[in-house]
Amino acid sequence: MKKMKKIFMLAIAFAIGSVNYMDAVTLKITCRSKGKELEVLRKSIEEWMAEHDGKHKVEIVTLPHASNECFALYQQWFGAETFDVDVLQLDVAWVGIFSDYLLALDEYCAGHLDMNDYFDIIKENMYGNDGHIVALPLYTDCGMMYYRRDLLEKYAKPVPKTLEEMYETALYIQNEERKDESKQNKFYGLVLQAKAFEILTCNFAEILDACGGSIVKSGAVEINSARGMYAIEFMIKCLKNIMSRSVLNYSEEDARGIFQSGNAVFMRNWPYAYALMSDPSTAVAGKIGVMTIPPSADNGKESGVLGGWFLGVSKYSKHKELAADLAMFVTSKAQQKIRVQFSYLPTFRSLYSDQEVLKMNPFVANMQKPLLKAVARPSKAFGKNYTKASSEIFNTINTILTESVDNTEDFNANKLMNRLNEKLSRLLQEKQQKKITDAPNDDGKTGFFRSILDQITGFFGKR
Amino acid sequence: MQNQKTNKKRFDFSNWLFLFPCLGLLILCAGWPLIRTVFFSFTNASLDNLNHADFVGISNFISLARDQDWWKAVLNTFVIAGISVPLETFFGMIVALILHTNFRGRGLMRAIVLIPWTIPTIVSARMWAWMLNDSYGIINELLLQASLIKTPVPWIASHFLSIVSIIIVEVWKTTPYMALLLLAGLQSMPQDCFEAAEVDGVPLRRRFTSIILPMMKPTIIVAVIFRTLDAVRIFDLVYVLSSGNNSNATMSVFARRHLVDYADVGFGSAAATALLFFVAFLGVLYISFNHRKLQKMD
Repeated sequence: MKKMKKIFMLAIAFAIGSVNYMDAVTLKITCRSKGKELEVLRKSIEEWMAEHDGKHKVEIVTLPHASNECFALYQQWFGAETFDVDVLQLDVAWVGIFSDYLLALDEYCAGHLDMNDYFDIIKENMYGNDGHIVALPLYTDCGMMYYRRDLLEKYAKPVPKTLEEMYETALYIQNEERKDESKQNKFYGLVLQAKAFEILTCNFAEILDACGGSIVKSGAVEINSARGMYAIEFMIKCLKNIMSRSVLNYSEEDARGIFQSGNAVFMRNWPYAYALMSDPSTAVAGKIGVMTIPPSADNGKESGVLGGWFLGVSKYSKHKELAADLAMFVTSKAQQKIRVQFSYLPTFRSLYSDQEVLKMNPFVANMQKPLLKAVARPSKAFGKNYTKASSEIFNTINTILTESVDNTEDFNANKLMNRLNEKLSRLLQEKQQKKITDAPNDDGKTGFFRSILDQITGFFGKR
Repeated sequence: MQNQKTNKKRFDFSNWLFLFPCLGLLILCAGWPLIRTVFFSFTNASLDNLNHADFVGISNFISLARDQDWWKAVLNTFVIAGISVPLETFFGMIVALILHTNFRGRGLMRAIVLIPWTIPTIVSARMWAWMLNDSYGIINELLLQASLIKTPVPWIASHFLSIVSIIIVEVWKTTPYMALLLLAGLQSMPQDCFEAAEVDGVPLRRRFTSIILPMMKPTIIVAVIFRTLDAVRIFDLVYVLSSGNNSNATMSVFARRHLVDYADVGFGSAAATALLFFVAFLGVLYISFNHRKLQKMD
């Protein structure tokens, strides 16, 4: 009898234990390890776990450093359909591409999100292809122009209002500064990033936007429009006269290296550079100002390309509700406020006038305007073809710039831009057609062998 | 006769038995990915759709053959390999001859010479990228100080110069490897020839051209084959030291771009398979060519 009781007790204990076990969940979230991102996320997660009385656990999966490698990794995961990561960190340009694999979050965030407080351009990117909210903005980024306040003052030049004025100012100061022998060979008017990578697509997209052009407009590619040609010619002019030709191999940190050591008047970069260059040990601390990418005098608009990261929940997550809860917690206003001290820009408009935020990081006040003027890359228009499109863009622009300074014999920017336009149009069409015919493949893993069989039977059928 | 035959058979069997663990490992680590890549090159697989790929015949190879960028990559690869391998052999020979002589600290020297080869390529490539930078790179600074150039040279920002830089770094990195192989050859040579030549008063240059070179030929051939096959696959140096533009890509960089960046596994695999054929073709060519030559020499 005693034995029976023991067994009975054991069974109950086991049952309770297993119920508890079923309830406690371990979620997986991906995170980049650039800068302080990992550390910040860890703190947010601890708070979230405390809020759930420590019942659930969260595991962080770190991502590769380069964003194109993260992208490839995600594609493999989604392709395999069997991975167990619940919450994913996504670049703003990927939301549209991966939207078919992301959980619609509308029902989870209904009533919890202050949609009107998001910047419009960020809000647009939260929606997937079918109009549902699929990603929540974590922090944002925006291309902008840094300038040397002290140098502008030294030569009594105003902060330029247009691209053309910026060019003239940069050229003037460059020539004046180069009279000093020690700066003869290494002082430049402008630095930006023209390495043939995604960053060049960003750089070009914002100059194009500042010149009043666009890559895709109402469903058609128009990168070779008159404004497009003006933008590329402006870049060539800059490269020939006020930039080192090495920018053709520069990414963000190379450009910062030049500007931070005091060897340039203007620099195009992301906000992250500001915090690093404010360090008193740098040559430019306290001497820099920021502005949007200035508009072209002829029909232009202020600009800056939109960057930043989102959190999305995988469609294949086994704990959808909890995962959505975690994503919402980490991207909430309160959490974004904490991130400000690490120079991660909030995605809520109200935080830009929040006294506490401004006290923590006064720089944030400068950023509202660039964000209001920001332009997105055409990732939605190209969908899964975006990486190909972007690579066509940066390769062509890099080639044009290289050939323009090499004075290649048959150099013809027009021809190259027209060819680029054709290629992009083809990619855009391909994507639009895909949308119609992209029916889910229901015969599963037999697809490959079926198609071989089809080919063989087709082959003999013809005979 | 009969007895001999069975003997041979049994011998073969035990050979295979001993080879099995190694072969099994090779098939697992090299064979399987290889077969998979060749297999994918006949499909339209993409990174997010590996399992449901359709068979598309040789259309990937047809579009590869029509792709200008691919042929550019092939050309770049052979330019880099064709220039760097002879240079490496030349410098490697000099280093090997120096290390072969008797001097104090020879053992230490041999170890030091190997350093460029032992640093992971991605690390040394990054290091060189900084050294070659036009505004804060040390190479330009040195050349400027020595008044050899007047304005900084954009080493890695122009198509031509970046290929030159890649070749320079490649030679710097692999000369020790060449030297090591050649040194091994030098040391296995019988010393009596040299002694006889020395006694007969043969001048140094003659000794090199008439004794060392002919005797070293098999070693040099093997070393050159190894390096060429390696050089044709060059990836990391190009990935770091070029601007990422298509015009500087080599075959491996091209294949990676399509496999990973464009997620086009089918087409990328076709490029990788084509690269494999290039390497295999070169290998067969070299071996058969040298086989005949070696036989003649014997």
